[in-house]
Amino acid sequence: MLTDAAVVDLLRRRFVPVALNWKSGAGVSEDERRLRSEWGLGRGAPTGTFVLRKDGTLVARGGGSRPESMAAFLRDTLATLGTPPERGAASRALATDRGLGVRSDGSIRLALTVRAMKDGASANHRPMMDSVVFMPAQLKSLAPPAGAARYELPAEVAREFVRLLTDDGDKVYAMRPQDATEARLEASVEGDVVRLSGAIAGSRPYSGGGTGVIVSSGRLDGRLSFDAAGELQSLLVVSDAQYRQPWAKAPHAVGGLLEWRRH
Amino acid sequence: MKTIWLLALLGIAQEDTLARRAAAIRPTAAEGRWREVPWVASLREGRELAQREDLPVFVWAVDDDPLERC
Repeated sequence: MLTDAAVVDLLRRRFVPVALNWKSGAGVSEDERRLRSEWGLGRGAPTGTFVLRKDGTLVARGGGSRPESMAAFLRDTLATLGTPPERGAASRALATDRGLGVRSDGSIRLALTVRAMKDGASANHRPMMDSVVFMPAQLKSLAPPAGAARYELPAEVAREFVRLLTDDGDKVYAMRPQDATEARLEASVEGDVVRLSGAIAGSRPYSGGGTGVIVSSGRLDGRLSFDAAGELQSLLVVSDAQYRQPWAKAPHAVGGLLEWRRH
Repeated sequence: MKTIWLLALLGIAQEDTLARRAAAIRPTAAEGRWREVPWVASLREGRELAQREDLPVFVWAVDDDPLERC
């Protein structure tokens, strides 16, 4: 819904768009906490989309998940507000370290995309985009041991790749490393390139209610390149998996992509 | 010599396949359009901008970090 051209255009030109994380209290200042509470967006407030006047009074809540209904919702609220002025704000660079470069603590942030697939092509226009962070020690463990032609990734690192197994946006569906039931990734060295292949699978109880279980399993292939000092320069991993949602009778095909480059 | 050439060809074929599979999954420009929205991640900053520019505030609130995740 937030990828729809009309919705994006309205948000850019007519509103100040604010994205808030309800769950995490980390990094939220006391001032911010107080303001959220004053505006009715404090602890216990529902998730969703809201339009408020600049003084914090609520104009409307909702918009639905369909692009047309969100665009209509935004236009309706503008009409209620008497059509405020247009703005010329430029977009801000978001998460500039996603998929690129090494962070100040030595970790890297891999760009993750998972989407429903059909016959080798995307089945819809709703990719799930996320990030996977590898800490310096995990990064180091990707490199081939000296002189090795073949090696296996350590289990604790291989388990990180189960994040490629589900395409639902909410984190209650995300396969976490501790949910891995299989994670065997073998690497073969070809000069400064390492080819990765293996099997990954995971299972976790659905925490959103009921007794459902989230199950997914698949194959993974990848290519890692290193410089002469053994430092990772790029990573490209793709997966094919079968993912069964907790309410679904049958699994559906998902394709996962994890990518990063140093420069 | 023949073996080396065959291995090289196999490597090229693997690269092509991997690139093709990645391209089928990678988000399109339209799918990444939400990144064109000038999001701010604090209500305080949003309020300041709204008051300065005389605009309403659109809040997208989730049980997660919307910008980090996406």
